[in-house]
Amino acid sequence: MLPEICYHSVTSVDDALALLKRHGRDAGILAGGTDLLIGMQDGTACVRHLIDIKPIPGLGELSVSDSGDLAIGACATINRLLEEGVPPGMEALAQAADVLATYQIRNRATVGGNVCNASPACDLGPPLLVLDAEVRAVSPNGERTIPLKDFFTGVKCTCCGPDEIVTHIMIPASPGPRVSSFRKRQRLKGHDLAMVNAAAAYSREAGLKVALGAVAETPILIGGLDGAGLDDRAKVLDTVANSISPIDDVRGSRTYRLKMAEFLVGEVLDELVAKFKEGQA
Amino acid sequence: MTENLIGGSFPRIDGVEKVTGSATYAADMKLPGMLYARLLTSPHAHATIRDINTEKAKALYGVKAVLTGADLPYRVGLYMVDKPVLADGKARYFGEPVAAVAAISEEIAEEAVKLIEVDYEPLEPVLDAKKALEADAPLVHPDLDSYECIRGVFCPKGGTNIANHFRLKKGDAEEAFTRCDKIIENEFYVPQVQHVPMETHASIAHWKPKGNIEIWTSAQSPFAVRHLLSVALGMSQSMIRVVVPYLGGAFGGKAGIHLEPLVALLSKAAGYRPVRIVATREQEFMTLPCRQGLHARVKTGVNAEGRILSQEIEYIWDAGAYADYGVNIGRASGYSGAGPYEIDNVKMDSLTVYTTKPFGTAYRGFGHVELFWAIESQMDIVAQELKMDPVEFRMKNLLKPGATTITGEEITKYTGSVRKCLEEVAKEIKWGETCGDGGGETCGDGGARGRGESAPADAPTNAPTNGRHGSRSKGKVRAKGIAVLHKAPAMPPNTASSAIMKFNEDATVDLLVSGIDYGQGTATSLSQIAAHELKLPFERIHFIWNKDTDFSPYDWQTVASRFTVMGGLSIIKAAEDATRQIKDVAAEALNVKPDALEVKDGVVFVKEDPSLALDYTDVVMGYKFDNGNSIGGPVIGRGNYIAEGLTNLDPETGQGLPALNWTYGAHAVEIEVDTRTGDIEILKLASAFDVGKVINEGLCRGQVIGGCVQGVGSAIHEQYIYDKAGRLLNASLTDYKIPTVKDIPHEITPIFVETPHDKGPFGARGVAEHPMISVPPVIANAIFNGTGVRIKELPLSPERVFLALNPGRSKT
Repeated sequence: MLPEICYHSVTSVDDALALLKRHGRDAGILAGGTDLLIGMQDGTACVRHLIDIKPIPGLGELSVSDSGDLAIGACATINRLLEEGVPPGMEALAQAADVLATYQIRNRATVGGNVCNASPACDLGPPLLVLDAEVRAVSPNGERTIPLKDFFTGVKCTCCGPDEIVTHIMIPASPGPRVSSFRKRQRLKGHDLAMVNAAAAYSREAGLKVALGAVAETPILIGGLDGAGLDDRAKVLDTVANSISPIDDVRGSRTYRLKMAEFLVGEVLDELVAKFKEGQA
Repeated sequence: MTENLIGGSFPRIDGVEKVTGSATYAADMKLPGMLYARLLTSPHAHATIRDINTEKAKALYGVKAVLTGADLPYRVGLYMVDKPVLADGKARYFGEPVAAVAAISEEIAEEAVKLIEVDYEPLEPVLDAKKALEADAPLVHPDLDSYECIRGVFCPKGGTNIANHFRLKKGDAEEAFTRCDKIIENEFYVPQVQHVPMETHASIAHWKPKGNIEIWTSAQSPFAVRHLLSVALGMSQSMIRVVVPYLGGAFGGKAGIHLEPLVALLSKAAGYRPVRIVATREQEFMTLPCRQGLHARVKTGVNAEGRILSQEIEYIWDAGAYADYGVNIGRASGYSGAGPYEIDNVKMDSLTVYTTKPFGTAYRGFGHVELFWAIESQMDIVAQELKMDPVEFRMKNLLKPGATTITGEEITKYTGSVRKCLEEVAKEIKWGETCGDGGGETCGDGGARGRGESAPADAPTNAPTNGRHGSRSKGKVRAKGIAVLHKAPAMPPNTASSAIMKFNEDATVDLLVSGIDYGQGTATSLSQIAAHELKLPFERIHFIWNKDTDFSPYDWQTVASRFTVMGGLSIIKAAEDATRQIKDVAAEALNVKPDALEVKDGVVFVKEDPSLALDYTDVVMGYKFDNGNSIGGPVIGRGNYIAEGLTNLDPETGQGLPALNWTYGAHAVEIEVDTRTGDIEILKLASAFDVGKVINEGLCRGQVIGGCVQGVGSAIHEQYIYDKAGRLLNASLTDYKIPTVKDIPHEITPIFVETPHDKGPFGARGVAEHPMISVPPVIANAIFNGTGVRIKELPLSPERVFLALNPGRSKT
């Protein structure tokens, strides 16, 4: 059951920041609410003042700049992302969006919410990490841009300050043609949280990037792949195995997660190779 | 229009109400002045309740009643009266209701629950039914000996955790093992699972100042609720009224009695205001009952020709904290627990064992989904040991007319044919032919390798092509499996039904029975039977949906796939009664003898001169002669049925006649196992049942498809997961997964065999539970046939399948 709350609908970032300052720890930012409201219901999120930022103009939209940078408003829904489509080379993001929860949830759930909720298993984490996404946040001190790999700081924790609001997720254009891919393992074929998920992206200029979810405290971008190419599969798999540390929980055992991480990375690499051969990059 | 009423596909009569959302369920209802109840549940699996302080909760504005176990010296139960209304001095499972609040809003009730302070002293939990049998295991019910149950039918053992010990002995199993060429013994396990009805449990009770109680509830059996409540509270049944409106799924979980006593007592405590409780989804998992777990050990002795000579079976049922219903699952699964096989020597022990976990109750199949996991896995293992085709092995041993069951019942030509079911599904799945286009390459005969060995990636290819082998491509293996099943209604030998048909002025008919249609389609098929028997168009039957013990005729319970049969037989008798009344009046009006008359399409007429006729509208409220003199009066047909010829079973040998009828069935499956992930794709599931006579084909198909899908849930996805302290870790749909549309078989082919039953309506038998039974072993048998790996524990989750296929390669 939801506790008693005060609901604030705001139409500007400044108003949102003012309310955030006034209510401090009692405030919660409402975008889609598909994680927050459940947290409030089960008592894991203690919010007395809900600040609904959806009415702020522009935050629900996606835009591509002339140079090819993609800016996703924090309140853009997952289905909006899917309907508008992603620029070439960012397919991993659409693949992840397509298996995030159910269609009905995707009507409400937002890109910003999925990122800010910072679940280790969030489906948008790995593709955004391999696409070098950045988080744009605003506070009374001004605006800053944080690389996504530095944004996640722990299970459901981010480096976002208590007085700060995420307004956009930015994906810079690739310096050269890029291919990307996402795969997810879950307990059943219908909607489920990820038991393990993985994304990879490759371009000649930036090399290979691999990221996984639900195998560590945060979605993680695999480091130490410098110079690895699409045919360095053994090295990639080895690096992945040494970088992840999944836990045993109700969704899967550590043992099985390790094997599935290996399997999924193999799958995304296969897809990159296939796309690369098709000449997509 | 009265032709073809039996066997057609009439659309379900509740369709419009359900599709438009206009059907009213208990949770939709509100009464003037109604209060809302919430529960405080135990955070411990096993703990003494030293003290409960409700002062702060009672002081909260809007709170009208707070109850704890100390206020409620009542025990409730269907077969074993072991269940307190609220935990009584100790909590026996994580999630057990410890206190309850009634308040003017749900929010206030919830707030009050948080203000209740409980001082617990945790006790050692009992989480494993096998360990619960050990001499030094903590006792879940130290006072077991003092509980009421029907002694002789049930055998609790005070001073232990055994709620019931069912024994069966046929022939001399021990002696027969000495004559066997092979003896094969295996253990199997089924975890607890949930029914997951779309509608959670909901009850409204109003204890009136006069002392009577009115209840609206999501229950399968209004009369069972009334009876059990009257016994528990020591009240006359005439003082209790139970109404069941539309019911949103139940699957056995709403049989017997659940939240009704608690809300009734809250209503009384709150100064006679009505009180409603609606279980949250989480409470549906952890507070309300689930399906029992099962540890099974099966020892089978065969001769070289493949005949089963002897079988020793031990079922240890993980009942959870209470076994009020569970003891009968142990009994029913005992008397049918060797499967539909002719075995001369059987020794069986079926023990219902208390643990400190959520308690089990009836669930579609009533123990048979669980026991057939063991039996039908074992039968394939035995066939493999004999290097015999699993279909051929079963055909050598399946029951046929002239054989006797393990309780000594003789099989007749009316009993039904499990052989025909197996033949049909084997034909449908093309047993004996290699699998479809999964790459074409034949995989090895899993069955030719010993147990425990597994080498899916480099399996031998020299096995005979008998159709159960897999074919493979890209790490995917295709394979087939088969399994059979049976079940009879599990019920007391004196179980009864009744029906009333009230004619209206326009010669439509109000049909009253007290079986609940919570999705099975019974209301539609019973309306067809009523129309057929009254020789009236289907549209003239008005099935009364709400069941109300004040107005509806008695019925024991809506369980056990018994209602089309027992309700149907009552309706046939009621129709005879009504038709006789119509003919008597018409005979006098037409000045002929009643047996000169015939009825059809709402007209009663003289057989030899159909122009001498009366429309029902001139008869069913009484006939008025031209001069105003009148005869007859409103026609009300009544019919009843009581199970005939059933006996209690001998407490030592289990011999007797427990079954009204047996419905047999068989499944055949073709699956694809992804050896890289453990995923199972069910390409085709063919399922045959000897239903005796199809009453409504569309609804029969619906039952089969629904049951198969639910069986896939038990087979692949579902299980309760606990931590070491006995806390349920997956008490929500986030982490308790049931099949979605993406997880169900690509194709389900229902097949109906019609060997008429001599006592069923039109020869019909029930088929509500059966489709779910043996779905898990048919998939496991196919996995084995494809990969050579035998899995003996459910569910067959991708993880379990993967780790079974890759036992050595895992690292932690």
